[in-house]
Amino acid sequence: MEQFDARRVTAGHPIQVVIPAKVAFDIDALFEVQRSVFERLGHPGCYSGADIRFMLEREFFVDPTGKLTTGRQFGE
Amino acid sequence: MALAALPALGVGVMWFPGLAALYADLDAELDFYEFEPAVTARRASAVPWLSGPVPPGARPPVGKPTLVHSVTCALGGSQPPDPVEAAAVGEVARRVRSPWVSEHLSVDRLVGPDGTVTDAGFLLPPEQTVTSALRSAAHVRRFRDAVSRPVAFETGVNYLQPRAGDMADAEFFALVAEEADCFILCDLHNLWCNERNGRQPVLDVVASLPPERICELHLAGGQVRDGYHLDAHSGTVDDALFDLAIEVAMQLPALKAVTFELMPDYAIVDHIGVDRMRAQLAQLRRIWDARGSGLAPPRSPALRIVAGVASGDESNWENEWIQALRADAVMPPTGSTDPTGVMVSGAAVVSTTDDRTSIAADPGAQVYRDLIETMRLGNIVTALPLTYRLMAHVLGLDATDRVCQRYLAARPPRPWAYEEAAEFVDFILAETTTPHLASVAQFEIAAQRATLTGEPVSVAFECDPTDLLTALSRGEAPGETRPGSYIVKVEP
Repeated sequence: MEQFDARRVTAGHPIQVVIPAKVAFDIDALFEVQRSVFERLGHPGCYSGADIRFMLEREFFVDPTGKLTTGRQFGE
Repeated sequence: MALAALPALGVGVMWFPGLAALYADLDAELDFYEFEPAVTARRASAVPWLSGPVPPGARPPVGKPTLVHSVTCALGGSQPPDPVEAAAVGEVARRVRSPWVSEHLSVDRLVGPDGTVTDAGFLLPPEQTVTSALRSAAHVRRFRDAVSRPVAFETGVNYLQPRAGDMADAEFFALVAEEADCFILCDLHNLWCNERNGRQPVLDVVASLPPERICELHLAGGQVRDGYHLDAHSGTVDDALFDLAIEVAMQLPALKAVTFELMPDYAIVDHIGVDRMRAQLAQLRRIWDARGSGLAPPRSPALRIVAGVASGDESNWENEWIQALRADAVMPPTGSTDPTGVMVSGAAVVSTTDDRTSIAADPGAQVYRDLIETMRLGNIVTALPLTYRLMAHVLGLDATDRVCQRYLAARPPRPWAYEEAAEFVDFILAETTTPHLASVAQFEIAAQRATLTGEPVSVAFECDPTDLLTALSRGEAPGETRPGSYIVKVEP
């Protein structure tokens, strides 16, 4: 996320932070599935089961010590 | 008319960008790749990016035959395939030289009482009547004209129980195939789920299909939830299904491809790596090698009878079936489900219903509602992860879940993640006043717009965005923010 620090400061104006779109979407470091920018916006694939993306995201939090927590395992 | 001669491809996989690394290690053992362009595309009528080259990383590696599997032009509804979407699929098929194109014999759009067409958000089952079959055949012919190559329709999963007066699954598939003079993609996992959920047995279905039209088999793993066998593409193929597939393949002298399907997220959850996938491919090779080695089954008498039936006895089909799907299987009743997708309804054994205008009493309708919710929520957290995390941290998971439930009940599904994301942001910004939510949500929408349009988009923040976005990207609660006037410019 060091790209977030690519700032342009101009006196009297808001601080401008420039972020490439692909960096804005590059947030899956803690997930093993690496989604491309295109995949993040597209159509779900051809399947008719339970989509687990929400459940994975819902369980994805970091506690105050910085440890990744997964409160509930899939299938429980 | 004689069927087109299709090339024999062999054993392949449904390719996704998220599985590219796994399949790269197995490239030597794969004869072809199949892929779904829509997974990395946009609604063609809104963003015609497909007029350019398919972006790197959005299609399988070159050098092997590639099949296009469409999910945006479902062939079983009251509406014909969207001509713009069909043209886009055809363009991709032309570019990758797909020998044929497959699409689903399903319903993906719903016409409301006022004539408004909305997305179903899922592939829903068609009504299995003669009128529906003939209409579907017309859709297949139209789609084939649009993509300018042979078309195979996929035999779909159906979580509803058979209804009195419906054609049997096989009769319906066969009539569509004969009337459209097209190929059949026989999805054995779909048929297996159907059998285990109370519909026609797989072998009975296959025995009644014209074998010369079955050009491809799909196989996948599934899951059982609340008594329903779901076509989840969630793991490796069950041994019993493998045995069944070999028995089926022996009856198919015209088989050209055997394809394994797996969703990338489940590959991680189920720890499917190179070794397990290699073993799967070896099993698939056994199916491929068995093709046409047995006697072809006799054609079903039922097929011959049905094939001669004229249309015209279900004039209200469009209104009744589509409205039933819309009311009972798509839009959630208030407070119906756990937003994690855990079904609250048990799968009951229901007898064949004689009510032709309602599916509300069928537990399968609740299954569809639950699955559509998981897919919609999946789209939201995939397209708006930082927004969701900010809500979850500030409001709490339970309160965020309630907001999500209100959203799902208030807005119809949008199958494209970027469209669902825009709807969700519009809804939550009218509902909540969570600090920085508007900036974070608009930042993520800006990133989407920059990607879609190729133009930079700027978003105002009233705090230093670096700390806030970095924390959320790590899944951490945002700490104290430093106030200030900031503009985040998202460049494509």
